[in-house]
Amino acid sequence: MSEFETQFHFAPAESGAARFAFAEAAMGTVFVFQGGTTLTEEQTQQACLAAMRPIHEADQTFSLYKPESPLSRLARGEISVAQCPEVVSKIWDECEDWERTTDGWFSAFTPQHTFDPSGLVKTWAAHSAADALLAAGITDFSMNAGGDIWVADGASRPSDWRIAISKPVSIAGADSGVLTAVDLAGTEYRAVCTSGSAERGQHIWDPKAPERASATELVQVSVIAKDLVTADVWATAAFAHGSRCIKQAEDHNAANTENKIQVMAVFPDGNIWATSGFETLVAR
Amino acid sequence: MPRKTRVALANSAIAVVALAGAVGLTNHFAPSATAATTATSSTAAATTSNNVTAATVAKATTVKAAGKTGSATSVVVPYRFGQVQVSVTKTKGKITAISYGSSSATNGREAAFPYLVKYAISAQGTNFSNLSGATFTTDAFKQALSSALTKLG
Repeated sequence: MSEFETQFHFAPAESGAARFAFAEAAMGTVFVFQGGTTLTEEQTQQACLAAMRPIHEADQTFSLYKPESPLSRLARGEISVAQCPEVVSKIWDECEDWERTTDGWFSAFTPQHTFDPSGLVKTWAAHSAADALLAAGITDFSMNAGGDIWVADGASRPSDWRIAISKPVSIAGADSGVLTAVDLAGTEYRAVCTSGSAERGQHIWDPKAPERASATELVQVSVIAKDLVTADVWATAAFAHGSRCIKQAEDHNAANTENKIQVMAVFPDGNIWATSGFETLVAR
Repeated sequence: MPRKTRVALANSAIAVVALAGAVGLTNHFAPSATAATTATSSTAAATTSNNVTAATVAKATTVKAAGKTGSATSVVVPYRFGQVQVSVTKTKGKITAISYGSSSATNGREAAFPYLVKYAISAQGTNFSNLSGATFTTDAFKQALSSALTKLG
């Protein structure tokens, strides 16, 4: 993997808040914070760097790409959950909760029966990062956690609230582009997460298939929710579930009117399905 | 004599949209769009890689190039899950209307068509700060930074 140098851009304004953009690699992807700030350039940069700490810490603990991480050692049976940092047990419990909430379509247990909470950890850590930025006094921003997006209540620019959804191809490809865009301004929604095979191939297993085979019925699913982790988990669950994920989401919404999710699923033949509430979110 | 053109049927509705300048859904739609822009009217039976069993192309009589004004209507297109007809009106190179005509589908798939059309229209020229997609790699992000798709600052 090639190096990605942390980037920080700061543009003072003649009046009002300065604009900033920050990008740093972690967990094999890149996290971006951008928005307005009334802090100084130095303070803003320090706040962004500090906000990345929970993400790097989670990476050290949960990465299955790092042979000596507690999760890797757990997967090899060298240590028990009780011997892992306390956060592992907490995440384990959260994964089990999400498995129940999604009726078993989100599962942190791999086809090899090892614990892999990576479907949760990235946005769980990103949520902490966003909280750290808010606590530092940066309230006007949006966050891109490797393709999963969250908008702070205080985001000031209309474009912060408009989130494009990628075509189901890699963002690095010549055919990359935008499938559609949603506008969350004035809604209860703050997060858009997408799962798909475009960047990393078939990597989501179907927890209900024999041998937990890869889910292949869809090429991409985007989920919109109030909360980043909710959107992320449901995106993984919906991808695993396939075409029936739309009905599942509608049923979920009927039973959870305070915590709705909106889902858009892209099929291999180019067809798109979405929940009934998705349409009103499409950017005009 | 009408030109016979093999067009992926499931995609031909999208092709009509794409020829009028909207964003195609995936790269395999591009050849269909090209075919549709040049055809006057035709039907052809074809087997494609997309499990489509028959093919038809649009009567793209007036919209042939970006920047033109006019409209194009696809004939009713049968495909794997039903049939669909879409017409596109374009003014000075910009889509100004898409109407979604008669269609039928099985397995509840009819919900797909109006969405598909609206998405294509609304994606045009939207100014956005973030792009949501499957988790990209660091390398993919670096490459995307050099395009207009992902930008910083």
